[in-house]
Amino acid sequence: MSSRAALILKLAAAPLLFFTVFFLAPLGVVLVSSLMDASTGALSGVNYAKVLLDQYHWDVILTTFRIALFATALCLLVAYPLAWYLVRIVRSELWRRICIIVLIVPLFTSNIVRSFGWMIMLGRNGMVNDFLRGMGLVERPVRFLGAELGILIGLVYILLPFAVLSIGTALSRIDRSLENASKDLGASPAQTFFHITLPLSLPGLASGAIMVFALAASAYVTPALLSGGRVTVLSMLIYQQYSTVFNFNYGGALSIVLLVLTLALVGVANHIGRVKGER
Amino acid sequence: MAALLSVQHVTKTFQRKYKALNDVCLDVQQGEFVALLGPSGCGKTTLLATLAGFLEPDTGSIFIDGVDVTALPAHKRTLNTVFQSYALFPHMTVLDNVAYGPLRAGIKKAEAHRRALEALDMVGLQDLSGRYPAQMSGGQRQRIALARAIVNRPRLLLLDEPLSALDLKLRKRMQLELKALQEKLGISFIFVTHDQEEAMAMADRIVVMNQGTIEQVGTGDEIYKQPRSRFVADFIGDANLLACEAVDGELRLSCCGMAVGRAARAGQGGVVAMLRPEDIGVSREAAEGSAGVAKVEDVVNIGSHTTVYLDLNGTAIEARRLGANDLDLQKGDAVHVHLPAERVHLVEA
Amino acid sequence: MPARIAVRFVALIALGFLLLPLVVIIGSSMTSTDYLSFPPQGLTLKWYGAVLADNTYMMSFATSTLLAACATALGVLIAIPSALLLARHDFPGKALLAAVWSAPLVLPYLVLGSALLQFTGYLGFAQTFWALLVGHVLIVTPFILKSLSVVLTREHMEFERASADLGASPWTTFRKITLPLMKPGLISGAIFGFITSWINVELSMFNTTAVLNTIPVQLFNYVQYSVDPSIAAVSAITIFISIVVITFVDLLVGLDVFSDKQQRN
Repeated sequence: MSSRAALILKLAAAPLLFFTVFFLAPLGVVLVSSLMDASTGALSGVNYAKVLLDQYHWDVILTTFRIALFATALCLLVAYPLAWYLVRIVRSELWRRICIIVLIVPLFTSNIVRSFGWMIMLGRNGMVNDFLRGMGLVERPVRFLGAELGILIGLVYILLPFAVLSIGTALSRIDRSLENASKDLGASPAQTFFHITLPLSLPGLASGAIMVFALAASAYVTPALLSGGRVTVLSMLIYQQYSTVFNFNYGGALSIVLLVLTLALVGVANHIGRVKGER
Repeated sequence: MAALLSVQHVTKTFQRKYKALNDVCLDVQQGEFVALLGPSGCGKTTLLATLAGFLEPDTGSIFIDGVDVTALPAHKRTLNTVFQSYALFPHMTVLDNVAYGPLRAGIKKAEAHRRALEALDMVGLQDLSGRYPAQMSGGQRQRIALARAIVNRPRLLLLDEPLSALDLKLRKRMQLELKALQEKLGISFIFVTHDQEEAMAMADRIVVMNQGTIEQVGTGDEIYKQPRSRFVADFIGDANLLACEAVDGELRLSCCGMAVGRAARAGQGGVVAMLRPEDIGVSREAAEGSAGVAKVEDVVNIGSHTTVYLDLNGTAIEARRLGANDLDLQKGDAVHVHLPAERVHLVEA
Repeated sequence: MPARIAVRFVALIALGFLLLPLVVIIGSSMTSTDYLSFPPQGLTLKWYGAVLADNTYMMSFATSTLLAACATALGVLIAIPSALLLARHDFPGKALLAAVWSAPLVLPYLVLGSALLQFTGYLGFAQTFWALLVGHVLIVTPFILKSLSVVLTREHMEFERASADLGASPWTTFRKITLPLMKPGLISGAIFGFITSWINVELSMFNTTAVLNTIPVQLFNYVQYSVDPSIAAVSAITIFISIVVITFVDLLVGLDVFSDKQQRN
């Protein structure tokens, strides 16, 4: 067995080393920093106390969660029909590929560019307000920028491709013969959808939803640009600590909180996906 | 004459609990056609992988031509394998696939291609050498895999269920072709299959495996007529396994009291009497030596033979007669059953 | 069927929604006014000219591209042995290792970026090209790793066994069998990794400086202070590049990600 062990060691050595040094070590440093008192340098939980006991932080965390929740819900509402369309309704392979390109190009366009597009459109005199006023839906321009609404729209835009890919994959894996069996037993298409298809797509849906939520909660560029300085989310606080205030201890605690949250969500998403045999 | 292949006490455990091979010992002679036969999970594919060098045994040794090859990596062993999935390189033409072995051995391209065409000719595919595997049918791919394996003229060829993906008619034809090829080339074949008819049709000797151990090694005839364990009796062909009781030093069938032998080994977990369905006689009238009257539970006539399912005093018995249902037996009929004691084979329960 | 019509309607609106901001940016980049205007008033390409003549933009463009290229090259070198290791061998701790190697895909880039700022600061090379490169390699490698693991199926492993069985040494097997068959996965993974690096903001913004900058970070900085059509022009250029590259990938490997291949099996 030693020749195999040696081979494994050889194959794993370089990548392992790289990841340990430049991935795990920095995160370790952040963790240690978060547990150190900035003024005394001693180990203490004062940073976490600040994070978890301060009302302001709870407000920020709640705002972050609230926006992420709504963004996820809206995203799913739009993504499910689009995914269904691409998987079940589109027959032409060429058109489907074109649609997928339309889906993926935004995904691989920088967050800043995408947010910038919304900055142009959501201003007081921007396209969206012009349209709403032109249609007589509102009298005065709606405040999008500098409000949670603008961030919401921006996030939904950023996350839509993820959601569609996730739901679409789940839909494409459903065994059609199960739906055929349902119809054979007398169920109408609507009944088949609600009793068979939808439940079967739920694990993929849930797993995708959790991932989208994690991404929404940790987003930085979109909220930073569309908040107009009037809304703060967790990631913006973290950025502040590292780039302006230079308090790496407190910033570290905030980072760890966000990290733990994200990891927990990803773990749950994977578990749901795996338990239901999606993989 | 020393054996071409000698497997000695090979054991292989996976993940510290699953024993895939348990003290396996086997000798294969030059020019022999040996079948490894057993149900899924019996270890036959693991044994093959160990022989080829893809897996290292935990204990034991493997000798090829008297040389210990246990630690030798796969690419240095002089045997070849035909994979169940054929494993034809999709990015190379048929010719390049078959010429791969000779090229790796350092043979010049022109000569390697010549040998490849020769091997393809042996399997009847020399005209398709420029095509890609994806363009070939299942049966053609099977032959290309074969050609690729024999072009190096190995002394020993391992075949992992090579015919399992083919439909019935093609399979039976390939069985004959493979056997003919093996005899012509004089290569020793170790052929893995779960189909006992296939094993019996092709092999000189059959190795029956179950849960990592070898249950019995013998010719098809030996295994069929004298199975050494209940598993082998049950796995090969159809068998009636009838319970026995020891009465006054004699073994008697529980279902009808007929004597079948001495109760010599009665103490070792019991003995079971095996009778093949084709040895059991059925008649409407009482005859000499009838074991009793049985009720017909079902009759299945498939044209070449008829199987009659009987109930003899609560014991289920399967009898088989050549040809169609000439006695016109129906469900519920009462018939006489003849169990020939001389055809009984005693097996440990 | 009304349900189908409704779904079609929502789907097409969603597709339009996806295109809308991109169209707006491209349109705004061609306005002849000095301020952002959509629909554009008068069409001109002068902003593109201004961008191409602007040295800072060109330097950032070069930095972004060089960074992405180096990160992708290193990512390939790290991902190939890692993928082979995970595909071929079973060993204790394998699941953990696989999780660590794909972790950068799911962790917030912001946290990673700030951690690297601190770490490279301690090691003395913060805010250098190398500090940026390290982070980018971390986020590019998992893409390539994931693409490769899709290719290295059990069937693929049998090809390698067949090659060994026929007498090829491990290195020859790698050269003649493994590498050629890995190519599609390698290329698509590398391209997606490259783009991910190129468009990244949250990781890069901690280690860039006025001199050493990437396009996304530069845009991010500018956009917070003033918006003019030249920003739209730069953005539009990145959109065009994205369209070209994604279309190329689709033509090369096919992006039919939702095909009912499973049904045909």
